[in-house]
Amino acid sequence: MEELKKKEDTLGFKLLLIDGKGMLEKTRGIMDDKGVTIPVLLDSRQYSREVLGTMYTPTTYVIDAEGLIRCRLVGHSEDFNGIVADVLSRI
Amino acid sequence: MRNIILLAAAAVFLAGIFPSCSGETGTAGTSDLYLLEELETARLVENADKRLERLEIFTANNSAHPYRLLAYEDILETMAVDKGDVEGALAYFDGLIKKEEDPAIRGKLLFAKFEFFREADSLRSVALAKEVLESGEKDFRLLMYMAYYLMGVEGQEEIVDAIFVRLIEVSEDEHRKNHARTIYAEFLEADGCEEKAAEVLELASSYTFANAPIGRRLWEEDRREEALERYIFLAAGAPGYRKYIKLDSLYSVVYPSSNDLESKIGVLRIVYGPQIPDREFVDIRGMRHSISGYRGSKVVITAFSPT
Repeated sequence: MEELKKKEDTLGFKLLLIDGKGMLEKTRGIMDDKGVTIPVLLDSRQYSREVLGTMYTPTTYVIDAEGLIRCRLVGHSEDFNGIVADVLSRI
Repeated sequence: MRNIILLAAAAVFLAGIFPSCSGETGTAGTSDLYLLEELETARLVENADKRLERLEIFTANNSAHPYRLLAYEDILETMAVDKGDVEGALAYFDGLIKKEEDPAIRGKLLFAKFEFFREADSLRSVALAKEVLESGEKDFRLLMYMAYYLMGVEGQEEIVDAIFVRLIEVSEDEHRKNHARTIYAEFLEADGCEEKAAEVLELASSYTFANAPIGRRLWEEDRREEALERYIFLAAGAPGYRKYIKLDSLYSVVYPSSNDLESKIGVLRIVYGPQIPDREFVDIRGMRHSISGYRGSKVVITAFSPT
């Protein structure tokens, strides 16, 4: 994901992570170990599950400039960053 | 000892299914970060009695905040594991379920109890599932998880069927309803009801994962072009499936001279979903974010689990 973050300016988007489990130290530890600088939002009221409709993690949502959900990707794949870049170019 | 371990496992599982919460959105400001820091400080108290005291103060002071569930989990674990008071932990647990007014949190507490019984005594877990069903509980995740786990218990087909029927009835959200239908179809197929399973799956065909079994069935019936349509839809929403089901190979078997698979998948990825509502968040570093603050920019949000 950090590789994707490096493309924020080029591709014109903002990358966020959202975590509903509330395991603060564990999350911070993982982020520090992996050198992840992407903001991790604390989702105490389950925005991800109740509003976005997340059934499995990871699930990635691509939102357009008007705030509309334009793509939902469940899981991960080797070419994930390329997929996201393609989606961003189409919306 | 086994009970202690199982109760601890149930408590850990409770963390794993940290609930969806209905009701007021409230102010998701820096208080969330502050509360988590306070909770983690309480968790680190070495003396079990003092830790319990701190955790109970936390739940008393934050009785309306969703993070109270995290503290409940720590209290259970401390009572059962550190103090070895399994009966006390179970009694505490029942007390929580009785007094909890938030249906989502009550649902998760009930599921944790179900999970404990499932490991310790499957008959008691079945009895609890029946009790939950009869009580009219409508919590989606509670019913979903109970059905899912009872699918593996021999002789419980009737209750599993009843839970799925309830799930599909009570799910107002089409996405959830289709998720339930997809798992229900898996159960029906395993139970030898292939025809009914196929009917249920067709109702869920707009749901990404329903298209894995639909595509498989079509492929087996030698309806390969239709199967590929389903598989392409699946790969569009769940990119990892492209490799998992060897979609490129299957596609080249049916369309040996075509090289348009990539574009077909790409087109299907784009949807016109709803506008996501505004909400404020604080991140793990204490920075504040709001959904409305990102309007005007494209945003990629990944829901992830640190586990």
